[in-house]
Amino acid sequence: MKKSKISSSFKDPSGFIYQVDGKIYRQINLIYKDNFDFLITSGLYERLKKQKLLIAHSEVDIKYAHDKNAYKVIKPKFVPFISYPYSWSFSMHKDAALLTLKIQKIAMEYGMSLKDASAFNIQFLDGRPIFIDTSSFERYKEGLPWVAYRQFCQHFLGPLSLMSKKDIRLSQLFKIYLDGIPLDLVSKLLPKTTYLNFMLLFHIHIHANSQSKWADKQININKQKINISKIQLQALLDNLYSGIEKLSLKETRTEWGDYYTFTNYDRKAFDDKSHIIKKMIKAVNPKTVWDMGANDGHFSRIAADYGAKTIAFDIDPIAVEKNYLNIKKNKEKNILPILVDLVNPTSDYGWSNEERTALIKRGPADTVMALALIHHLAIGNNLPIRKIAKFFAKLGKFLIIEFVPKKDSQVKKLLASREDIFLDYSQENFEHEFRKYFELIQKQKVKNSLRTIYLYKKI
Amino acid sequence: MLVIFLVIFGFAFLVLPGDVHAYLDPGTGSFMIQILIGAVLGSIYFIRLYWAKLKQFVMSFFSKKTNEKK
Repeated sequence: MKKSKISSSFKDPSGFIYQVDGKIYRQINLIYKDNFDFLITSGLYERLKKQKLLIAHSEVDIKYAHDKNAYKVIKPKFVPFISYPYSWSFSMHKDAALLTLKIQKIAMEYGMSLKDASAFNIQFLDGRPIFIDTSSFERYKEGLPWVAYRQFCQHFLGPLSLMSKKDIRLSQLFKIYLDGIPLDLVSKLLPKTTYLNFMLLFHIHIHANSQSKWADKQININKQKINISKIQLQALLDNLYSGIEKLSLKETRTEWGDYYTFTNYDRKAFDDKSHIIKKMIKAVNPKTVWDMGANDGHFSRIAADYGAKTIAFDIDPIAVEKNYLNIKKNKEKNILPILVDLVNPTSDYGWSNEERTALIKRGPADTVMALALIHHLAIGNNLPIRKIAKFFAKLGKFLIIEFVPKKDSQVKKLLASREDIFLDYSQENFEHEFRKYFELIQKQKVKNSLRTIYLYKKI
Repeated sequence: MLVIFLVIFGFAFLVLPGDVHAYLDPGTGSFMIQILIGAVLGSIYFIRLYWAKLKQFVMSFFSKKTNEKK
């Protein structure tokens, strides 16, 4: 058996996740024995599993243990793609926050409490958020405040309130502050009108104040008794829950949000493009698809409907949000919308550059789709075609890519305000460069347009 | 609001975090604010309850009167 630790799992002594022959396991350490047993015997695990709030697991033989500290070994249900909070849309982050609070409220009914409230403990599975850290529960002691409250505010309330009240792009601060956005910074960035919002006044502004007030005070924590009753703590959780539920995005129209409404596509071209993609997906029969530049996921759904686990990446937070809201409404299970800037994809972050994995390392996908994208990379971002071909070769085994020539009105628009310095941007050069990394399987012109769609296989 | 804050927060100074074994640093300030919020929400709950009882009392008085008239 080849066992290897997963580099993100090291902070909590209760247990950790690791791989055995490529499969994910969680070791429950002896130190966490009592809490783990209580999670199971109290019925809390069963309740959370039944409601699909906590990841289901099966107990496996102790021989799978990573080391001698093991009390038990469990094998959690497989999550095909690990996503991080800085890649979620507003409503994804909001649903993750509400899920965390819901779990904490239910846990308290069973005499337990979450000892951490990290947004990284939430993943998206079958179109819904799910809590994945089975060793996050501990016995609740009446009178004590919630240990994970600070983390909850930094990981959830901070980013959500900034996105809602200031600017949707501020969610990206999470990339810099991996333990959540510091509350004094959130407080400074939020508009002054948020002092009138009870939840934000107390949980952000006064909370930030209180943190700085107590920052350098030495107190003996074992001699004194803290005083927050169970009912008061439940009221605090309810207050957070209803406050977060009310947070919403201001009406925002972005560059791409209305792409399909205002595009120059005629119906026939659009239908033909869908038809070609359907045929190509069928030919490849992929298990996983990465749709790069998916907008609100129209073409991703072709792959998802075919049964492929599809990740719909886009740079526009509103497009990702629209996609997620559709998934929620229609209870779609095969699509996961992800916010990413392809010219600066999510990198390795955290301790030793190993805690959070770069996007490219979370692949490769069976099939990559890049529809109506190449002109944005080549002309919008000055990327040479040979570099684009090399990048896509890293992402997946098959590639469905659309070439958009200079005469296309979308490219004309990109070139309208600038000098055409893109001498290598031609269909001939595109084919020449992509041949270096890929073998051509199919090539098809889209009716009523100047565009061509290629199906490539990586050499 | 400021007065309420000072009164309750002044009280909170006397109460300090108790027996805690956490692998995360919960933060003293974050502990204190929970006590404050708990107290504020508790008072609001109490006032609402009291208000509802008062309303009920007044309403019952009126309804009795109407009954008497009948």
